Amino acid sequence: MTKKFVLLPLSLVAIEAQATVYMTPEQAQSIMFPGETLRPSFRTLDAGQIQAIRKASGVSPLSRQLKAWRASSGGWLIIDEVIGKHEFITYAVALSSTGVLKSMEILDYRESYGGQVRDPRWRAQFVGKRAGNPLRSGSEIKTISGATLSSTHVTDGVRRLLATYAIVLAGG
Amino acid sequence: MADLELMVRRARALLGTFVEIALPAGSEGCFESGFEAIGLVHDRMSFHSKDSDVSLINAAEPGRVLEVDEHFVRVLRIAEALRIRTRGLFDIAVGRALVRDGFLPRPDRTNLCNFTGNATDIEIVDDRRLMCKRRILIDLGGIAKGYAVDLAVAALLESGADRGIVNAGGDLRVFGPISHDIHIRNGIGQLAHPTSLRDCAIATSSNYANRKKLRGKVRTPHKGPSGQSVLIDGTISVIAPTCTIADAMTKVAMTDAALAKALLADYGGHVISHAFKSTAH
Repeated sequence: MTKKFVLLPLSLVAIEAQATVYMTPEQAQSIMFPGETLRPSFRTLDAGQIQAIRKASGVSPLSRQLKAWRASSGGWLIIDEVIGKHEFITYAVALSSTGVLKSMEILDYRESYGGQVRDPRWRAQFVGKRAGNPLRSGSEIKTISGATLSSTHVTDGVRRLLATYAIVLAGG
Repeated sequence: MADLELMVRRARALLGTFVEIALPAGSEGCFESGFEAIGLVHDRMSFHSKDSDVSLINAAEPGRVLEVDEHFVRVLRIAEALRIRTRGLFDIAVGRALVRDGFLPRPDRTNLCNFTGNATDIEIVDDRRLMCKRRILIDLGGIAKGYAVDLAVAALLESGADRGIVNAGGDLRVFGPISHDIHIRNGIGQLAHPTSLRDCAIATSSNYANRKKLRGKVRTPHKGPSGQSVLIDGTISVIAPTCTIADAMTKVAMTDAALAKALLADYGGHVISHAFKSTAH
């Protein structure tokens, strides 16, 4: 079976994925570990660890890179990404020094609006915006009611990170 | 108009969707109280969680007194009042039909024939205790999200935030002296003209993208007076003073628009219907 690749106009791609930024990684550090210092403890997962994480959580890591920080209290901050059906989401989890989930925050959320980009009223919202602008919903992209978006992928991601802690970080 | 650019926003994955709270800069200390309120509803009122009060009822042997959260009892009381006022169109005992049609997972080792109870079989003993006279499968999917939004708004006001927006996957409430424009998205992703909200709530339902075929019949999660699936092309939105009422009344409006309109006049709300546009793909 052959697959055809279609090139989309760049402007359409730029419009289709709009990001809502809730907090930066730096803000996540100070909000989720107030008053603590965090030092990067990034890891590269090997094939055996990826397999073990998949076995323990039922979910495969999207990336071999694990963005983890160690807090002065011994806790961990991990920043991770998941891709859902229609959305691309960066989120952070805070774990205690024993790997218990303390909190989870969405950092940014990129939603592709699919068929809406063909709607002139929808497109009119973006007039004057350039690709790369961190557009936020509300005054620019209107808040939307209807067609609830599932958060299942984030829930799966948190479960995967808890397994990642146990397999990769728990030893120190 | 609420200038969201000047507000601080946080989002968490709760209630099976993304819950976003927007507050004015300087009120950041209030976020936690709002998310805690949503978290309580997430923990206690989910069909999917084995530890929730919903699962406690769904697994309960008849006659046994159950201890539950007081907010759960409050939701059951609101649901019962709505069931009576809507002549049974709003009914939390819809859980059995939703499991049968595959919209909800079948609880472990259950035979649907055993669940003969209806909403009148739940006896509220007091603010924290209740008892089921027959086995029953309830689902609060038609009201819990709205209640969570209202509970969060109450908690945010209590903790000192005087204005803001709580949005649980499109069931949302704007509170305090601000207006906020929202778009309504229909079941196939098109957007309608913006509607401006001030100190009120909106909820939207559709089922175009959520249908299943079972024994030759198309099923949706929305049931009519004799339990049949209601199919609508487009969306129904309800604007009401509280998100609990907005959420619950979308389901009524889908089946009986005239009844919903009459009841909402009482509550101080109204219905907005959107059919699909002719450019539908």
